[in-house]
Amino acid sequence: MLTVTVDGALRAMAILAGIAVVVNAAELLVRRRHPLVRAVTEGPALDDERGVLAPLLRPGAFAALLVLQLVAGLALPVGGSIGHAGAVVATLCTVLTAVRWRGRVNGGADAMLTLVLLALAVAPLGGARLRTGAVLFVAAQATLSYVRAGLAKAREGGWWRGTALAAFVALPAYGAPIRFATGGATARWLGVATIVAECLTPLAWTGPRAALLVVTGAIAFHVGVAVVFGLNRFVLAWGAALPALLVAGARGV
Amino acid sequence: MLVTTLARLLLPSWAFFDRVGARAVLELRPHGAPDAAWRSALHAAPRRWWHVVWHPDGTAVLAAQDVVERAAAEASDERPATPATRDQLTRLAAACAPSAGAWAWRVRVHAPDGATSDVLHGTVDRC
Repeated sequence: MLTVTVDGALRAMAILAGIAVVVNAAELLVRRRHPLVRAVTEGPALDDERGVLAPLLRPGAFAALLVLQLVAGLALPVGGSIGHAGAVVATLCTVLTAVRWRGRVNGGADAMLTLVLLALAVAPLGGARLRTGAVLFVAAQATLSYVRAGLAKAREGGWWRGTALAAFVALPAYGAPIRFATGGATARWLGVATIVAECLTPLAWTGPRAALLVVTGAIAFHVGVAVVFGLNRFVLAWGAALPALLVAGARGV
Repeated sequence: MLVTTLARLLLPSWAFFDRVGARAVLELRPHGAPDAAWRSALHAAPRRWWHVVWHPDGTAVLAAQDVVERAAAEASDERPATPATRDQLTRLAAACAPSAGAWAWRVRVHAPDGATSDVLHGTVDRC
């Protein structure tokens, strides 16, 4: 049986968060002149709104910030004071990116990544209790995110009938490689399975086997979502948070 | 805006999942052509296997889609669109317009029950 310690989970979170931070920075760097990116991040009205941060968020300065974020992401897995500095810098860069976009960049993945990075920035500042608290905080937030998503879907009849999933898949911005018949059996059962799985996430806290099952299911879910909806950042951000759930399960409730 | 963004990022309520089911779509059609069909402005690139991890074009499209959804959410809260929001949508419409000329844009929300509503609209001149 996989035994996950707090320090082991922090190490895994640092490696996975480092990958996420590097990929996020690199994606925005290579597409910084993309017409869509420029359209939503540049302009005098946005400058007015950004106030004192405006000079830092203009294209030239922001490109430098992304390079800094890239370096911070590479530093994260190193550990020690270098890794800690990487976590602090990566947190700031991720927050500034969200400010530049006036909110979420990619459906909320940056929110989860920010929490993981915050935990990695805070954990080294204290002893074992603080490190444990930081990891369990991430585990609690990950659990909350799944449960809230599951309850929101459960309240929406379309997810039980198979119409909501079919409609989401049909949204042009996602470019999904598949289609579901509206109200068809596949969409219906996938919708029900998603609701049930998300709402049962708290079971991860009951023991190590349950935690492993939940984490395995979550990884498969996020990879599937990335394949269908192109939400690669969810794989990376939630992937970085999932080791925390293994710790929660190891401690048992 | 800055304080709101920071608060949402550092203390996420995961409430954005509550809007599951409602879809906001940015649409375009030639300005002054009321019989022309509205077309979706944002389209994702074809998917490749490595897009599970590395997907810069997809990230750009989805980031733009987030802007559209945020604008729709602001409008559904019956708040007037801020200058920055309107500016973003206008620039986005211009970036997505398939050819030079004047284009009309709108943000149409498709509710889970099938009802639709146009929450924002404007025009843009793509040079």
